[in-house]
Amino acid sequence: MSVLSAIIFIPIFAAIFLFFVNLHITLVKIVYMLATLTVAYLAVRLYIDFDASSSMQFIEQHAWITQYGIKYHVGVDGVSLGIVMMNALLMPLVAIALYKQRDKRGYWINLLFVQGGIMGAVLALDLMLFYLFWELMLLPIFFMIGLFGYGKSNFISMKFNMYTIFGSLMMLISILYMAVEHKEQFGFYSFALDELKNITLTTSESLLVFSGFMIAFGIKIPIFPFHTWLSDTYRSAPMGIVIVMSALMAKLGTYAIWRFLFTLLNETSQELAPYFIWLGLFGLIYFGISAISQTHLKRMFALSSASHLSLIVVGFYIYSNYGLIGSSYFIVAHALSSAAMFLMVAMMYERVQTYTIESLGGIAKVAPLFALFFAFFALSIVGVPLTAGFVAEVLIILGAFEYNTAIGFFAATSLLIPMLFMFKTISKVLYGETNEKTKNFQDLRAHELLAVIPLALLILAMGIFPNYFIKKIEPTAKAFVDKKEAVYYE
Amino acid sequence: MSDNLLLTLFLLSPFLSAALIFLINLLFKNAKQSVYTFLALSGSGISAILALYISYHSYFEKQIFSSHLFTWLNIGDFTIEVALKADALSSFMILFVAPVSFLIHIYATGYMNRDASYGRFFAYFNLFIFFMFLLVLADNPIIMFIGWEGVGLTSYALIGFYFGDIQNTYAGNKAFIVNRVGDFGFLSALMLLFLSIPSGGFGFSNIFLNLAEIEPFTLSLIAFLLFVGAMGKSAQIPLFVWLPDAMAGPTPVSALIHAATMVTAGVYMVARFAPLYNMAPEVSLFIAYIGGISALFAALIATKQYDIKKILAYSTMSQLGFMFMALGVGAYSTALFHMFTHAFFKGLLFMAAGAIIVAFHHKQDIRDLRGIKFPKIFVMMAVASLTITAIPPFSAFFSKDAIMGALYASGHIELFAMAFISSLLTAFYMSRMMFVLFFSKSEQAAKESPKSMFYPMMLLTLLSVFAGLLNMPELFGGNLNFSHWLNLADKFYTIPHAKEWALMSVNTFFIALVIYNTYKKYAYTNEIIVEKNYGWVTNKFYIDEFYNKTVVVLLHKFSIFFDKKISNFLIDEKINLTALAYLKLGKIVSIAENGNVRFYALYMLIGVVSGFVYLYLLLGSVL
Amino acid sequence: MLKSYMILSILLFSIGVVGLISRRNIIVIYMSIELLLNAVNLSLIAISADLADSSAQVISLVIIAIAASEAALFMSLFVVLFRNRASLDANLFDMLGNKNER
Repeated sequence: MSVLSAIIFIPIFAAIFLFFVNLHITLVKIVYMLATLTVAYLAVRLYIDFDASSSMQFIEQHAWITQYGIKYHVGVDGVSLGIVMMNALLMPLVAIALYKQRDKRGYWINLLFVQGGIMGAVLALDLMLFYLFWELMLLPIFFMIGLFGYGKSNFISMKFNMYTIFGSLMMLISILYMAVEHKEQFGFYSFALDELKNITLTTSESLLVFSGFMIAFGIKIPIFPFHTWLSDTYRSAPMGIVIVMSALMAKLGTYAIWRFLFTLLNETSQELAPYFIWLGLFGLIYFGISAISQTHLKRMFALSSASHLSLIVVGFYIYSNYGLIGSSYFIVAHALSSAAMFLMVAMMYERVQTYTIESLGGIAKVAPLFALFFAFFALSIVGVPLTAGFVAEVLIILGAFEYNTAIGFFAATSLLIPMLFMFKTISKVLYGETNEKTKNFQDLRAHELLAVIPLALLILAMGIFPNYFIKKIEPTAKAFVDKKEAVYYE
Repeated sequence: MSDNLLLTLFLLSPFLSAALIFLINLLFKNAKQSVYTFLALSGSGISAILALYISYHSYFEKQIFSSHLFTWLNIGDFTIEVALKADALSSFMILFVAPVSFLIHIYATGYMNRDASYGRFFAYFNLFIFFMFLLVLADNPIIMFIGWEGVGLTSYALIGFYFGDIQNTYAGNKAFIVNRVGDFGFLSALMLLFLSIPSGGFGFSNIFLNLAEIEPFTLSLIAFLLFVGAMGKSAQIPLFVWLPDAMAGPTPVSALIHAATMVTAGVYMVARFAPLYNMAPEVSLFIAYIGGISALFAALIATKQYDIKKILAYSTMSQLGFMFMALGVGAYSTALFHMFTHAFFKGLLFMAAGAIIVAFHHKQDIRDLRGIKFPKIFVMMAVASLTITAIPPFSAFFSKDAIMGALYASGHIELFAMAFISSLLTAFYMSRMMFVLFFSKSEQAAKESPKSMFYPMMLLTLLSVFAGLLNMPELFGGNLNFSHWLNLADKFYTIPHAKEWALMSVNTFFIALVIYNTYKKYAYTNEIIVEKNYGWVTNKFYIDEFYNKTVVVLLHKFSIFFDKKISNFLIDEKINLTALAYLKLGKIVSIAENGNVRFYALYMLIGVVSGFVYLYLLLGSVL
Repeated sequence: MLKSYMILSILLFSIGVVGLISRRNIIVIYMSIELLLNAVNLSLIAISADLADSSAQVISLVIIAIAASEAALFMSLFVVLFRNRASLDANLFDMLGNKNER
């Protein structure tokens, strides 16, 4: 078994083991930590071994369902490497930070399932395999929200799943359609990414197939107008899942646009790119402005991530070196910042039992460390220099200006949009006078520090020495842009 | 010591001291104040000494120091090196930024004495000068932008330093947000600039080599957007609203950041891009007008202010307006020279104000501070005030007069008029403040300022008086040493000596007249209490209210509209309705499913019969 | 000849269906079901004779055997149902329906 398969299946097997063997909760957590730490170790090894001069690597291929040409086919390149790393690093940190808050077996089992599902979906190069993992990461979330959520959790988990499964089915139809077309044009079924891209489709066919995929990805990201599940779900979901959703799963949608749509339907995507760029820019501003009037912290950060994700979509659709690298970098940067931010919010909730912005204040007086990290992560979301988000934003904005000056200006508003709500929130939460709720606010404990310090250091490192990290993405971007230009000149 | 290492050390010493202070502050709750003092002063002190060394060599030996740290980004053509370069302009900047910072550091050790957040203050303070040095020394605009944003960020932290009062943090928010509006322009300009120059790196020298290849419209757009950045940082109309509010920070912060260094970054940036602005004359003229309007506007508002720090804040904005006017007509080194003298006298004014504020228990309203008895501070403040009003032979006389001369010679008489009126207003509000503070029948006395506050001010007083000698115009036997050192793409204006004499004397005469009238009006009278304090000027022309109504409230309304009306009502409601419609349909259909087996049999029968009927119709012809 | 057997079989089947639908007593419903079965049996036997193929007769024998065991099952069911509701009115037993949701 190669390292990629190990990364995918260790969490899944651990989850299955925990599901069938009824262990004490402490042991469950230990198994969880062991599994995720192994994955993290393997991922770091993968990162070190990753050859910064070529694109797709560590390819592993086995026959699976031969009569339909479905294969087990995984591989990693510069863009997926980032998500793999984030997934591998965040899961143990989440557990370190939150292990005292959750004592249900199901919580940890589901998180392991999600981790495996995301890893599989990121690494899969066969559409059927991708679909399988795509669904696999959905179901645990359904259970998590339903079982451990707040508020109308049943309704919300149902809504979330109806939404996403609707999208997934559209994608399934598109996948099957393409496979059948492949059979008709080449005489055998195939679900492999690099074989399916050879089929020729008429304009209307490719539009339909494109929209099938795009609905699935658009709902997952979410882009306007598929976003209405977002704020309720984030509000209701338990924090472990919120972190997974905002930091990883939403990014997976943007990643899948790049990986699948741009490979399979390159010309259609390029033709439609302007629409999606404008949609993304609209989303950037729309979600940002929507966030201003939110009073619930989780909802506000939900909209804030939606705003940034729209920018990532823009970056991908710009179809250039800068846009692609910027977006891939932003995926990682925003995963770090938003995960860290939600961790801080979770710790805050544990202490004050509220998410309402207005009922907080004065935390900086009683808990300076907490305030420091909270402010730092908030600023890293805003994208101040020396944090990773700044580098990514500069690159995306540069790509946008290269594409079109007007689009560049709109993309540059990402400098302003998050400030509109973030600074007021920092002031209201951290500063001012303490009140009944916050006067006994306990500062960060050792295990919480252990979880947030690596995140903070990584954000800083990625902001100060971006070149080291970007080197790994560059060949992928170059291959992609070369391909795009080949299409362009044909 | 090699040049490379020297420059790196210069940049990193405040950073290291900030980091150390920061760590000590986090790890050791009861660290001694003297540890912080030592670290803070050594950090800024080393860089001050190195700054003097560097600019000495730059001035006398035309030496250019440079240092390459590491590659920040390298994607295709987009190569950004973290490289430092101290050419004449940068050396000139650090020549006053670093020593003034050091002096204000010393002052701050007295001002912040026994403050609970002593360590945190100096961590931010040193971090600020690190970013300021990065801004000044950066060899390419992206790194400059990082410093640019960094000073904004630390300024945010320092304005909201006393975060117990949430209003202070709001002032910090406002400063950072308004600054970022400017940064939006700055970054857009940089992106456009990068895309329009051919490959070969994004260093300043390469940019200026390739300026000719940019098409005129793009060039003007870039020049304009860069200036938007400068507007934000240097508090020019319409992005000035943050500066008066920024006075919420401790007074050393106001002295260092909002008077001597950070706000001048915009001026520095425009001067840095001088070749670009020379090619976009219409934008330059626009800059001059914005500067003129800002100078006039701020001076007008300052005449009706009562908060001692706010008066100085508006005066800063007004002086920055002067500098921009000079920049706009192409007299770059003149503007920079005024910035140089301004750093000393405005720093001094703020420090003196801080000394008064400390001595009189944080009273800031000049109506409460009437007739204070504070002889040493009085002398220094008087010198600073006379300097700012451009009375010969104090330093600002030379710098301001050079600006006036350049404006006059440039042929834009309306600019000259604005500058002239502003300078008269300056004389008025400064002397008003002085006479109200020190010339009154009632007398209040206070204890002397501590030595750590006194000596830096002493030194700045001397500098305020004598700094003018460094760029003496020909008229007084000088030869514009600084201008020659800086060697910018200046447009030199020469006017006949007779005219220059006339200009100076008229100017000085009117200023003296204004001061005399102000003395009659405010000294030993109750005028300050009885004068009307309402109307447009007192309320700063309702600009804050205007922004509040248009931007803040509107955005909030939009937010609610988007969230409640569009997201919730228009989209979510409809999607939920679709789901509910299915539920209703199911209810209707489920009437048939009543649980009674006999009905099911009936349905079966109906089904079978209709099946047969269908078959019969289908096969009728065959049978 | 086959035709008349088939007509008889159809008639029997129809009577059975009508009884199944219209009667409320469960025992009568059961009897109707038996009628249905026997109608089918009859048609099977008739067709088998007509085609001179005995396999259908085997099937009908199996059906008769199953019907017999079914009868035993039904009898016990009647007892259980009667115990529950003290009645054998089919309309009372509608727990499968939507009324019992939630």
